[in-house]
Amino acid sequence: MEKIDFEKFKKLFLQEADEQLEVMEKAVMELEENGENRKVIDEFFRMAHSLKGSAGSMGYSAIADLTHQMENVLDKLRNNPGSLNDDITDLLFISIDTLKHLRENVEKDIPEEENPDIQHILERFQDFISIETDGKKKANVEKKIQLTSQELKNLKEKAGENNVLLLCFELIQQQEMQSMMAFLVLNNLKDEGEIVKTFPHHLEEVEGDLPYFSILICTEKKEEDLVKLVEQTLDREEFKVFPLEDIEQGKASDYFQEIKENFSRRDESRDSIRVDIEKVDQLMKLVGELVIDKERLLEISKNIKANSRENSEAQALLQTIPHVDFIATELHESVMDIRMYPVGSIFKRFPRLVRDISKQTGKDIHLEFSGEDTELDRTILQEVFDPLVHLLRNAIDHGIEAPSQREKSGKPSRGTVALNAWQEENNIVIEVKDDGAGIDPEKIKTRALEKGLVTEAQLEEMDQESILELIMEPGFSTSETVNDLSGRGVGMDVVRTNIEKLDGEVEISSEKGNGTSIKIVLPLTLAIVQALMVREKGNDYAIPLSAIFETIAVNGQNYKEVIKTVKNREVVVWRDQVIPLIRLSEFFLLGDSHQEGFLIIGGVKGRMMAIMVEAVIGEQEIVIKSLGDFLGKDKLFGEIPGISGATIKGNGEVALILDIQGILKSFKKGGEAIER
Amino acid sequence: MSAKVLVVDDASFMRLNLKNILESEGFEIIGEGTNGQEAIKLYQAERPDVVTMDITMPEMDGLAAMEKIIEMDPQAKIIMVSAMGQETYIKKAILKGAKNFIVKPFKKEKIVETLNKVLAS
Repeated sequence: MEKIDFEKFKKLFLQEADEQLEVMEKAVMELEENGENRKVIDEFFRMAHSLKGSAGSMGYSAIADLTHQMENVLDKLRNNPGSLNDDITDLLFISIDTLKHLRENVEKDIPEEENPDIQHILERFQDFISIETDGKKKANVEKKIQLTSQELKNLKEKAGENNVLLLCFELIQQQEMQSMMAFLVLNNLKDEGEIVKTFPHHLEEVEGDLPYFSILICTEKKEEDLVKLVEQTLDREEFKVFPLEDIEQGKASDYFQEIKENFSRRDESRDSIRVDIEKVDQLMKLVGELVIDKERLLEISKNIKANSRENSEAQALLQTIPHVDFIATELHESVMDIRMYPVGSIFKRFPRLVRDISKQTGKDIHLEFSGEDTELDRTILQEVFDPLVHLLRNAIDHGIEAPSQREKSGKPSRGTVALNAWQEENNIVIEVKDDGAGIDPEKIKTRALEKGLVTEAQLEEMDQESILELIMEPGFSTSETVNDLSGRGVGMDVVRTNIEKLDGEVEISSEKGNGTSIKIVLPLTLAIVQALMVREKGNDYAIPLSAIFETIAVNGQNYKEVIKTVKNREVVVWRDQVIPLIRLSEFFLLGDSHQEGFLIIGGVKGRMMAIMVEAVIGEQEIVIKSLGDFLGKDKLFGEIPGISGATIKGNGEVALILDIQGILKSFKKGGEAIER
Repeated sequence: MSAKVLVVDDASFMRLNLKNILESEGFEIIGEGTNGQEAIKLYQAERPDVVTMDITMPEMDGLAAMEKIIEMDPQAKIIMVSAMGQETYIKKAILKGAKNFIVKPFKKEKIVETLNKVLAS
């Protein structure tokens, strides 16, 4: 093998090995948690088998030997249901850990001879495999997809004078976007009666190939009328209709089964390609540049419009530019979409972690997930992993009580930690929630005073939420023992700093005795955002639209109505709220402000403020360029609160991006913020 | 009487392609729109029997135009013309009353068949 080729294969091997190990790990845990399951064992076997194959062909004999033994023991499990025991799962866990170690060695090019000795593990496998089992095989009963007897009963009651019909579809004519055809048919049928059940279950959410699907409907219409309706979208040969009697007699279920098998086969081989993430990042960068050029073109076209009405070529250019604008925006959205990853991809790394922590701490933990399909920009997702690990550790270490203590307080001895994710408008929320002891606000108060983080007077004025947020202040830690897991006082503030770097927020809510919920609220995507461009003292600034609620023009006429002075501070009365006024020129020390201009009403998390600027230029798509190399402590420009980055305008000049949260915060530190 | 069709697409190639196919099958093309706004005007003026509506167009996209047309004429028969991967748009269109959809690139038979089905409904 040529050197270059070998490196390429190695990279691919490592990539695949990671996925295979992940599946295997999940499988062992599944087996440990829920006992034997043929499907899980099969999947496990397949992964071990493919890893063995690729390791063998790359000459990684230790990995190949170990996976070979794993295969043997799994095969044995398959043939002897009921023989799974803790010793086997432990051995499998050890093997996976060893495989991970071996995989690291491959990555670091450590020669095969220097690998750890795996002989003792291989021998343990041998012991298992040679044990004779009674050899009985349990009958493998594949359940046919049918309606349960209860469902049938309900249906019969419901039927009465109505028709219950099962429509089974097999799309022959429609080859592209079959799922959309299913959606169309379903949508048309919805008006004709009640859709009782569909297969696949969430028919309206499926995308892509879907040659087979079924709809069970309860309708007043006659069978032939329904057929006519479906025929408006599909050929008669593409669907069959079964009345309730057929379903009862099981005539339909064979057909259903056939559909199901075909469907699951399809599902497994969903079309996808593997692309190196660097290529996608590169594409994203290029699209970013394109968006800048596009804005530039739009700027130029404004001038052309004004100056060259007569020139036909200029006019042709004017017609093309909107199209380029349109395509660039679509292209940007498509690339963004590629970068989106389901949060499940990091969630699945947690069960193992939780298992290890719970063993270490002697706590019994049940880990739950929801919203694994929620998608998030890949870059953000990577950055959020470490904070999540920390939050999980905290939840188990500090949140969940010891089993005995839980029983005393009338809770199940097994604690539950849930990882939930969902989308909320333009944000993705990831929540770590536990049913543990909760956070005691009194303890926080005492601690914060001890550490000198706040004064008594400040505490008096703080609401529950602000008190809880104190745990994210640097130097705060309520843990009474310092251990490996958490409680070194560098926990939550690091979490908050990391999340805020991503333009996100951390929200804490907790009820003493009933558990804690910590939410990480993240923007859907970073790189390119819609922004409002404003001008102050000859400089342009961009404000992300997501943080803006309204803009108000201020002039001599309404000045006194809009801007008031309360306790020597300027405030704005906006929708019955009194919010602080920040004059941008004063904030950035650019000189005196002005009486006329625009108020940008913006804020985050219900904390609002009004920013006074000279002029509003308009909305624009901006590409965020990080100033991380220049801004911050000990960097060229030092720390400048209120600036989150820069962008390049259509005319090639640089504009700074305002950090609304940062402005609010530095304002608050000055003791001037007015809470809602 | 041949059915009257309004073809809406921002790409002239696609309009020509559809026009050729449909005319050879005996449909009458009563208008060609290059964006959503034109589509609405042409629909109002010509009241076609069926509309083929591209989804992605400048000015006003096919989805918005379709909504406006259905607002004017709830009986309007509109077929969305979509590129691969525009599932989200198609779903929206269906929910808002599109009668069917065609995926680009399309075969002649497919488009004629779809038009006939929609016209028969």
